[in-house]
Amino acid sequence: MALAYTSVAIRTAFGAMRTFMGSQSHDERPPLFRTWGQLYAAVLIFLFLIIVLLYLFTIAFDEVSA
Amino acid sequence: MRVLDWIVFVVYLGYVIYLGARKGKGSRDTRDYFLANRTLPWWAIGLSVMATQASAITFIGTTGQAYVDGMRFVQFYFGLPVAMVILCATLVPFFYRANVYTAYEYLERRFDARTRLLASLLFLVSRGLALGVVIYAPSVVLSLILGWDMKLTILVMAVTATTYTVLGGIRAVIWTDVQQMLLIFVGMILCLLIMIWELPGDVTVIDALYLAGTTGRLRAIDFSLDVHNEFTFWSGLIAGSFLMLSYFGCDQSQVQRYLTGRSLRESRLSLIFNAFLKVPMQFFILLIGVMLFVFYHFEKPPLAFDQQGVQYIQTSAYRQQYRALHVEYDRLFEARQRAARAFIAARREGDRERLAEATATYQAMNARLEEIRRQSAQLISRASGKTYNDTNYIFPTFVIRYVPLGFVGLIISAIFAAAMSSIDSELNSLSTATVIDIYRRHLKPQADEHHYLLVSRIATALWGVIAALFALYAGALGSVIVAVNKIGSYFYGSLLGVFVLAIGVKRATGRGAFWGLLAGMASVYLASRLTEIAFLWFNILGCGVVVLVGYLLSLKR
Repeated sequence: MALAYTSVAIRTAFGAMRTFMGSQSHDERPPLFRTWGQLYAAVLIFLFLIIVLLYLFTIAFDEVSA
Repeated sequence: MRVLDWIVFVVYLGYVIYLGARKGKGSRDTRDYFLANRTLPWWAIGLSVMATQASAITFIGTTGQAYVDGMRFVQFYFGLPVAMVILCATLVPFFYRANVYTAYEYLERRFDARTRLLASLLFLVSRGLALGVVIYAPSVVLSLILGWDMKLTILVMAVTATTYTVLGGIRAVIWTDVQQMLLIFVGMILCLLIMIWELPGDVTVIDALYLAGTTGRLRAIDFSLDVHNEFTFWSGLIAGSFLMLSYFGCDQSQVQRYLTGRSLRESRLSLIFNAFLKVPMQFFILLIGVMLFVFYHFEKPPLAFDQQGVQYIQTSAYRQQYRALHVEYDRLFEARQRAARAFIAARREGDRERLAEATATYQAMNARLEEIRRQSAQLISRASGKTYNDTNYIFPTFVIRYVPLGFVGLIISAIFAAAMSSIDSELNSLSTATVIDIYRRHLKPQADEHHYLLVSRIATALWGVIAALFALYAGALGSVIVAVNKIGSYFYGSLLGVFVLAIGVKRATGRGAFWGLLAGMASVYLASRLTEIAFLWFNILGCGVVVLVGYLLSLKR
């Protein structure tokens, strides 16, 4: 069961990746970045920074654990 | 509310109807009525996407939740940017290039008519019922604030939103959403500024944050791996991604927004706009709730925010017990205020020993005060025979009591705007699925565009009537509301699974997709009955079962 599930997950991920790669070629460029991939990376980096900031915010004011 | 507030409120309602009618004037066919001829810019779609997701109960409920529980709810949205990136790279180009009206139309092209019909019906049933709750839930709170009969509040909300949606279609929906979202932003900023302004002169914002932090309310991140805990970093990032993928990728009320983009680029940018803004916006709304918690250290809040509950207890056998609790509450409020001031003074002096002592005293006082509030809620529950939860009344109580003249009307308008900007999108998407997936596909395929446009307007009005009727009787239905809220979690993950099959699994067949979808929903139903797993994880389960069952069934040709 687990093997079947893993196999489906890998095939699905590859299918989605093919879709992703295919969708890159025909589109207009996004603003500020050269490719959509770069813009997506910027979104994820932004999310990472927000999470880091929220973590710092949490520990900065957390007098309970301090 | 006073005269000036009423004027602001009435002007807002009139303006929204006028704007909706003006922007949507001249729709000649269903493509214009449902997709605005695919001419809209990304920022308008992006604001509409945001406004559709943020209902009135999100606005008043989230602030109340932060007041009671702190900032940890922000983690719920960590999956949103991830989901937006995945959608922009996969589903959005598919939908846009397929030139479809509904997400489910794509399922027929990929699989078969019955899979499309099943998915569309699931959407219509769950969204149609949920729309009644979207109207009912804020009406309960708003009718108390406005002093209106609840039926009148429901009717004003439903009739206004239905009128401009019928008249203008999606163009009216999106342009009114833009204005309403801007009003919501103004309302939020105004509330925070008023709260800070109303703090005592010797208490700074930094003092307020440290005070809230002492109670653990500023803990925005929780890395625990407990699957029973609803809001953790992992549930938000992993399970939240699946929920957001399902909501933004498979729910017609959101898909229809980005199908109106003037190009694929505009559609993608509207979602990326949300990916950047949503988490900071939720943080901001939660911060308002936390500042409200601090504000109520220096202004005495009512023991119970929902005054209807208090009326129950005044005429019940529990009134003496409640009075005794109130006396204790008054005493503890004064004691907590003194402890809070001692904490602020100790922190400023920087004396570690004194600070530790002041922190412990303050925490003890706050815990006792919260215990009194908990006991009061229990008493009211016993007196009324219903579960008592006043979280949604905390923020509106502040608005009515402390916000200056004129601004009350503005903030109440912002709460109405939050409600109507969700209602209009859902009405429009319900009408689209009804006309495109059911009426035009199965009942009357050969009619002209004029006929379909007329039917679309009638369908919008009918859904408005159904939602209003459901909202009017929702109070008497009790547990049905809870059931309606659960329906979404049964169907979202499973529906996502069908789209994953459609796009990611080349050999998937219609048979696999249809039965996989049913199996996914059944598995989520069973998991909700037999386990204690937090609801966010159901989306992964539903999606996984659909993909697995769908794939295995597709192997048998």
